[in-house]
Amino acid sequence: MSTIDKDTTAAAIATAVSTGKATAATVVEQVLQRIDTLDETYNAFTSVVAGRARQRAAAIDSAVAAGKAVGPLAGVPFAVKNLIDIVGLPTLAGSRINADNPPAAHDATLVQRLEASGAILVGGLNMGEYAYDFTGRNAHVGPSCNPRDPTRMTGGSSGGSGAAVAGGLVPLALGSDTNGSIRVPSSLCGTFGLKPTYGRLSRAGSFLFCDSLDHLGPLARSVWDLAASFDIMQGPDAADPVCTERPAEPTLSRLDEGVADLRIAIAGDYFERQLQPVAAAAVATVTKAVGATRKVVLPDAARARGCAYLITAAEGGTLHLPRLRTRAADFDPETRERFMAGALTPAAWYIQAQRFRRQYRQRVLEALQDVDVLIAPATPMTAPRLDQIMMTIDGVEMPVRANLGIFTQPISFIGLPVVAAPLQQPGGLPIAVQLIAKPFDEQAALRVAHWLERQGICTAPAA
Amino acid sequence: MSDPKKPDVGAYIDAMAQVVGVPIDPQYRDSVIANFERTAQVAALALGEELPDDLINAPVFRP
Repeated sequence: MSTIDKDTTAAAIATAVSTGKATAATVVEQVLQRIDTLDETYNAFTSVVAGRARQRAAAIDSAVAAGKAVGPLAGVPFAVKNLIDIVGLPTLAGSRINADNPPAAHDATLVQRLEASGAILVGGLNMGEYAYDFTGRNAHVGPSCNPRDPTRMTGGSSGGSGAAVAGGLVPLALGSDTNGSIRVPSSLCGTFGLKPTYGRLSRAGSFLFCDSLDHLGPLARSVWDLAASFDIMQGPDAADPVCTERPAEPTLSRLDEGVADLRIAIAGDYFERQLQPVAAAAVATVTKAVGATRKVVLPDAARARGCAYLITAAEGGTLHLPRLRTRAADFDPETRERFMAGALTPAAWYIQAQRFRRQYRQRVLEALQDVDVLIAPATPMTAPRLDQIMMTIDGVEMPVRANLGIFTQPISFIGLPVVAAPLQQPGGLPIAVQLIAKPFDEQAALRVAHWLERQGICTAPAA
Repeated sequence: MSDPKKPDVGAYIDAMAQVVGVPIDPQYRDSVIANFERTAQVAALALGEELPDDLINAPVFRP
């Protein structure tokens, strides 16, 4: 393999590099060249660490030449949402304000784990300011643009992650998901995305938004790549108090087990309303393919969404109090007043929302007692135009920004693991479904996604 | 004439901003009020039902 094209997966790169059929140096040069050529259009990257990537590539190539073990992701280029620490760079989290912070002293835990497996970090990615975003817009550096149609949104807040993967700039990116920020860009850009169980992956070394709901996870163009990177990133980390102490539970070795033994159901009621026909059709296609017939209603999903909104507003606003006091003018106008209002949220609302979260979790787990994977829409529509403010669903006009996460919020609210699996529409824009599993059962969702990928129903070719 | 049943969100924002110590520039005030009103609507919908006294939240802090 001498050329790594935009569709080459992490799996193929790792095989080629570890067997000496390609060098990591060549892979890195090709990726840097592609970023140089295409990112003017996609605006996915906010930093490129070319020197570091070349050094890492040289070290991997030397190890291969010396017959040393190089790790399962040898030579795989990846990039991270710019709220994840990269040593030597300030962690921007989509802001102008954080550019004045000292550079990160260490890489984030997940970057360290990926690089320890042979992967090569190539840069930081554009995002909505401080992750308070579903659109991928950013007033400071401009929006990330959807590689399927650059006049359209990537979705947010991990918009650069969606664009970098869908555009074929890198095979693997990390994003964060508080209310849908991995799943929404995966849906609008047409990539696979994994939001793991809350607490499964360490968030140490990332600039959080809303601690109660924040997750980190991968986006990729194949389910194998999602599972492989997820397995490598698992494991306890005392530096994140939320990170589980459970030992890693590998998923890659289980991908080929198929779906025959899985009990798959469809999310009813709330998840069947307020969506455009293209989103309903995506759910119907997947449902038919896996032969699911049972419908399960998650009780109080609308309340759950509301409580996720309240917790996000209160925690996000409180986190940014020092900056709201001293640097209000430097915020993105799309976040500033929302953070200000959030900082003034009454404690009674916040605490009730947190208490409801526990009740909702219990009720949902009861509803899912005999279900392994639940199918639900990921977004109510395909990618809106970059400047689009309103959308029409069921004849009702509603704001795009607030409603792109209508189906993702009630799931991340209680930390259930989800794979966003995209369906490409001939002549149209992609849209994903959510494959939702029970806590710490990521393998079930990944197995269904992998099966759908092998049937050609859910795919993520580069644009 | 203002609705006597409707809370004066502007007054709440002005008072709380002072208490919490977040100066709100007049150019941002209307938008902060609009955002808070949206949050209040969400709270009314989401928190309308009473929760049992023994329902505690699920903190993850482990001493």
